[in-house]
Amino acid sequence: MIYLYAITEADAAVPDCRGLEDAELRLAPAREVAGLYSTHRSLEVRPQPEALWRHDQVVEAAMAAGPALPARFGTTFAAGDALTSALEREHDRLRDQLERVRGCVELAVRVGLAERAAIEPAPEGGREYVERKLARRRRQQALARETLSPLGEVAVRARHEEGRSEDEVIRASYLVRADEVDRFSERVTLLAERNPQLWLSCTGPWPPYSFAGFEEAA
Amino acid sequence: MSTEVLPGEDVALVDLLDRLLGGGVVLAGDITLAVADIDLVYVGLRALISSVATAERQGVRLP
Repeated sequence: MIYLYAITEADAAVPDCRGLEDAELRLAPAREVAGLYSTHRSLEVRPQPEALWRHDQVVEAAMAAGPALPARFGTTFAAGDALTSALEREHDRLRDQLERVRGCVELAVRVGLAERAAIEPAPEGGREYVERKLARRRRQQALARETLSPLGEVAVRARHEEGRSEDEVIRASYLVRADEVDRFSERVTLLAERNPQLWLSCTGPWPPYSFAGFEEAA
Repeated sequence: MSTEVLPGEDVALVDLLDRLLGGGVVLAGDITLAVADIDLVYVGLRALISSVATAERQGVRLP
């Protein structure tokens, strides 16, 4: 059984680290691209922090040598030829996508409200309550996106998704050139200082997880 | 300056989870994780995070 970590260029070096279960890493080339994988007799992939960080560590090690597209966590193949034929089938798209992320890293930004919304007069009924809540959420999201716009100017691409909880308004991902990361993080600090009504969190640099899928190619 | 609501490591783990489970290239292999597994991870993580947040509000110092 084969576990896939990332897609790299065919002539990339195998990173000097170990995969899940401390397994040896190997490259399966298919024309100009290659899959970075490890072989396991049997493997139960569980999304535990240790395995997640290991997957990330392998992708980051690969990125040190050249562009890499991280694979979705938990991607396995029955055997090497199944991986190779998948690489062959998607070859052109993978090659183009590698080119798009070359020299870039991903930065993750989340924005939320530092304080609970002010207490409003009681709603007249359930429907008014829901409508008010939706309208408030839309206002918050518009505000958060506007607040984040200076970050988009430093990025090659940006994606915004809705926050996952009431406190979290927006989750954003930015594809940033590696030599622009300092400028990006200065802007994050500045935004946080200027917007005490919000909390901002920024992590990274990450491999381009949010910019590896083919939907990004459009 | 706005406050970070979660300790740095937890923030990073949440961001990593979002990306590893929701991003990345999906090739024609098998994605071994069932949706239920992923939901459970998030539930577990939320519980962890809110207990951390609660502990901090109550003035407990965390390592």
